[in-house]
Formats: sequence, C-alpha cells, structure tokens
Amino acid sequence: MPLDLPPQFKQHIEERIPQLRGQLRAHVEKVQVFLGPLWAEFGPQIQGLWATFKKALAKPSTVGAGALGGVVAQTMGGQFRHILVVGLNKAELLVQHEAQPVWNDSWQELMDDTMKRHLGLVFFAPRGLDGRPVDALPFLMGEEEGAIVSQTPTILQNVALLDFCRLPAAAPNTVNMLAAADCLFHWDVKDTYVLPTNQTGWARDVEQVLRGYPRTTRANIYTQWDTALLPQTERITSHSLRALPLHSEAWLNEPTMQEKYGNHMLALGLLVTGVIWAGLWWQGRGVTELTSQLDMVQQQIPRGGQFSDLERAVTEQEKQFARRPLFTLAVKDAHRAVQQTEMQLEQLELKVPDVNQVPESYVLTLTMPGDAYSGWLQQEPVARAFLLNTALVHAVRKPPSTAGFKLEGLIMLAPWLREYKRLLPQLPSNMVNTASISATSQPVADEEGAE
Amino acid sequence: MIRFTIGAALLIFALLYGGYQFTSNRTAVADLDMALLESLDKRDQGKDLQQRIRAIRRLSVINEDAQKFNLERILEIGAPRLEWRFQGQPLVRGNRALFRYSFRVTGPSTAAEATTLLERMSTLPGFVPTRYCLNCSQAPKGMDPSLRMVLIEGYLYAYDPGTLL
Repeated sequence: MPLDLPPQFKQHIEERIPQLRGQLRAHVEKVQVFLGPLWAEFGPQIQGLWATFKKALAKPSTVGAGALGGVVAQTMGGQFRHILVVGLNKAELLVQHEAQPVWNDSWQELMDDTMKRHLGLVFFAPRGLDGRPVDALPFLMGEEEGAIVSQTPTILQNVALLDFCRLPAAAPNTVNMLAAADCLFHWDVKDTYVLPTNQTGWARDVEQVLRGYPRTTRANIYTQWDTALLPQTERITSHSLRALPLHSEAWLNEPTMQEKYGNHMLALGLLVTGVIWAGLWWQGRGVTELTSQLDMVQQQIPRGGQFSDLERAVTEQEKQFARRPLFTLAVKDAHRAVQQTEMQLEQLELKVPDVNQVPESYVLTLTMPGDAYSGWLQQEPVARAFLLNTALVHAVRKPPSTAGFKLEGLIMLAPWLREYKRLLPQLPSNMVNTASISATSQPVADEEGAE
Repeated sequence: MIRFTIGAALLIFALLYGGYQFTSNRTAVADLDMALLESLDKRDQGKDLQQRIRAIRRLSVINEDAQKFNLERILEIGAPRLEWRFQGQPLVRGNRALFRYSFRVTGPSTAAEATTLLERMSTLPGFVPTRYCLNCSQAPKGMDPSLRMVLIEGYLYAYDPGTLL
C-alpha cells in the first residue's frame, strides 16, 4: 500500500532530497578517507573472520557433528557416565572409567538406581510395518506389539533412552557401525540396520557389511570389543563406545532446557536472591544509620519559633557593632578635613542612608553659607581641597540645590572595616571609665570587630 | 521444570525488587545525606548562635538600665545641654529577649564635646549612632554663641537577662 503523504510535505522532501544526497555523499567520502587505510590493513582478516563465522552458522547442530565428519562436540561418553546397549537378546554395560564392558541377558539386571541419572540406554526399536518408529517403551519392557504403556516405568525413570533406529542419515560415502551386546548396528546415508553378531565373529560381519558399499566408503566403528580382529585397512576407523556421537533425534526423552537447567536456575535464583538480600541489608543498614544520626542531630537543634528571629537580630547587632567605631572616625575625619580646608561651614551631617539596614556606606553632607562660595570657580577648589584633606571620604559631589552650596561625600565602609580590623588589637580596651555602668555592661572595644 | 520456574521467578523477582529497592535506598540515602547536612548546619548555627548570644550580651545594656536618666548619667550629658530622648517604642525581637530602642540626643554643644560623646558611645555597650548633625536646628534664644545645636540619633541595643540566658 503506497504511503499517502501530504503534498506539501512530499514537495518539501523532494526539494530536500538532492541536498541530503550531497550531504550523505560528503559524509561517505569522509568516512572512506578515514576507514580506507584501516580497511586496506585489516580487511583480509575481517573477511576471513566473517567467512569462518558464516561457516560455523551453516553447520548442523553440534550434537552428532562427529558422525558427519565434523568436530565431535557431544558424544555419548561426554554426556553420560555409563552406557548401556540393549541388543537383540543381550545387553552390554560400559561403566564409567572402565574399559571392559559387562554383559547380561537382561538389561534390567545390569542397572541399579545409583547409575540411572547418568546412564544412556541405547536400543534399536524396529520400525512398524508402515516404516515409522514404534513406541519405544513397550518394546523395551517386552510388551506385545500395540500395547500402550502410558507412563514411564519406574525402572526407566531418569534414564536417557536412545533409539538408534531414529538416527539421522550418515555423511555421504561413510558408514558408521556400532558393535555392542549381540548385534552389529550400522547406519549410512540411506538408513539404519541391525544385524546379529557376537564377539568372535563380528569382524567377519563387518567385512560382510562393507562389501555392500563402494570401495571408497569409509567406516567408523564404535565398540569396546577387541578391534585386533578387524582387517587392517585404511577404510576402517575404530572408536571407543564413548566416542559414539549423540543425536538429539535419537534421544527420546531428551530433557528440555527447563529440565536440564532447573537445578542451575533454582540455585542461581537462590544465590541472586541471597546476594540481593545481603546487598539491600547492607544498603539499608546505611539508611538506618543515617536516619538515627539525623534524628540525633535534629534533637540537638534548638527549637522554637523565635530561633530565626533571634538569629536575625543577633546578626544585625553584630554587624552594627562592627561598623560602630567607623561612625565616630568619620565624624572626626570630617571635622578635621573642614578645619584643614578652612572652609566656611554652616551645617555638617553624617548619617547612614537607610537606618533600617545595616550600613554599607555613610553619607556626609556639608552645607556652606549661601553667600560664602558663589560659582564654580570658588566652589570647585573647596570641594577638591576637602577631598584631599579627608581620609575616609571616597568621593564628593555637589547635589542640585537652590539654597547655598552643598557638598555630599560618600564613605564606603568595606575597605575601612578591613583596615580597622587590622588596627583593632592596637586600640586601648578601656577608653572610657565604665565603672558607673551596671555590672553586666562591659567595655566592648575589643569585641566590636567580631563580625 | 518446577525448579526452573521457581528459580526463574525468584531470579526475576529478586532482580526487580532488588533494583527497585536499591534505587529507592539510593534516593533515600541521598535525601538523608542532604537532610543530615542541613541539620548539621542548623545545629552548628544553633551552637554558634549560643556563642554569639553570649557575645551579644556584652554588646548590649540590660533592658532595665535603658532609662533616660541612667543613660544620661552614663554618657555624662543632661539638661540644659545635650538631652537624651527615646523615640517611639522599642523593637522587640527573639521572644522578648532583645530590644532595639531609637534614641535622639540633642541640645547645644560644641563639636569637640559632640565628638567626645560619640567616642564614648562607641566604647560603651549598646549604643550605635546612625546620624550626627552639627548646627542642623535653630539655636534657642539666649544660647551661648560659641555653642551649636547638635543632633545625634541612633539605636540602643538592650537585652532581657531573664530571657536571654
């Protein structure tokens, strides 16, 4: 179904496509410039790795790969500790770590409960008349044909059942043989076959089987029997019974992933749960410690609604007292400067700009008599002289005024506060006799700078 | 199969719950850390405030001593020269622990005497001058011509020793 785009959007896209192509081409060229030398150096290795990966992907399942001439990833010996081959009238058991198998007419008597979980039971269930495999359980238990065994018998529980008659075809030009119990089982590219044999004449039977195949056909024989009886030929390769390839097609009761890894998953779940529980406990311990610490600290905080109000009042008073000596200094400095300038003064005023705020500056206002200084030529030298003679005033200005001559000076407190703090220890602490003041009121010259 | 299911369920539950709880705990730890820092700051401020209050007591007069004649005696002033006046009601703060009075000292004086008074204010506890004005107001009739009207305004800080322990 074609995408029906709005015409405006389609037109916008069509207009943008050439530009986008150009940008894309430019980016590709940049990438080529960067990656070209790298590709020239590492390209062959990357291609080789990619080819190997593709081959690995194309291979069949690792189970039974050995039978097809590939690498044996999983064998009977690798999967099971014990291998029990049920023949036509005899059974052969190869126990773990043993080279010599044991035989018995009844395969049930060869088994015990301790080996069930690690036992691979190989048998050859004949096909039905329609060529399809028959139910393995009645065959194994010796029931009549067509009998229904609904549940796995107790003796076969936890035993791996391997019906070799269901093996997939062997690789071309190869015939695989299994000589065990009382039969010679072999399978080729077409089918599987069971022949009766015995340990004394099985070599002859192998030769007989091989005669039915072309001379180029190779034979893999899996047996624990004496292979010295076999004819010396390059066509035959003998293997241990444990090297028998394991095919999932033949494994009737192959455990599912859940059955196979149930214990692992349970253990992993318990382990992860435990680790997480421990981690959370450890983390929660920190939370608990912090909480108790917080409670303890909060109990140490002074309570009451006046706390912040009191803090503000104390702060204001501290700042006010830190600046207090500068006020007197400024007054004295203004008087001294006026005297040295020899100016005619009518009023002198020093004040903080806003009495509701802790002062950061003082404003000095000098008012001269109206007829004392007239015009810029007289006023400017006075102002300049005053500024030169004062020690604290940073700047002066002549505010607009209709009555007389006024000068305003600005005293910034910050630099003088720093200077005053530096000189503070040198000041005498008892500048005024405070004996008449009440007992709790002490001279504070040493403490005023404590801001 | 049941083992696999139980194991997988345990694993998934543990991972989900653990992840949630881990994130929750991390957030809680971060919150608690921040709250603890703030509380420590507040506690330190409180401790600091107690020390500052002790210092403030030495920078203030006792509220009961904040009387006109008492203060004039301390400052060595009085009629007919410089006179002490309270202006308005005091600003009461900190649950009636701290008081801030506004005062005005005014009267005929010389600049030297006014400066001496300011120096005295600067060394005595409680006084913070905020305005000094020389010859700002009309002199009364018959005043010594060598004198000028002086105005000093400012704050007097006092405390209640019963409240501010």
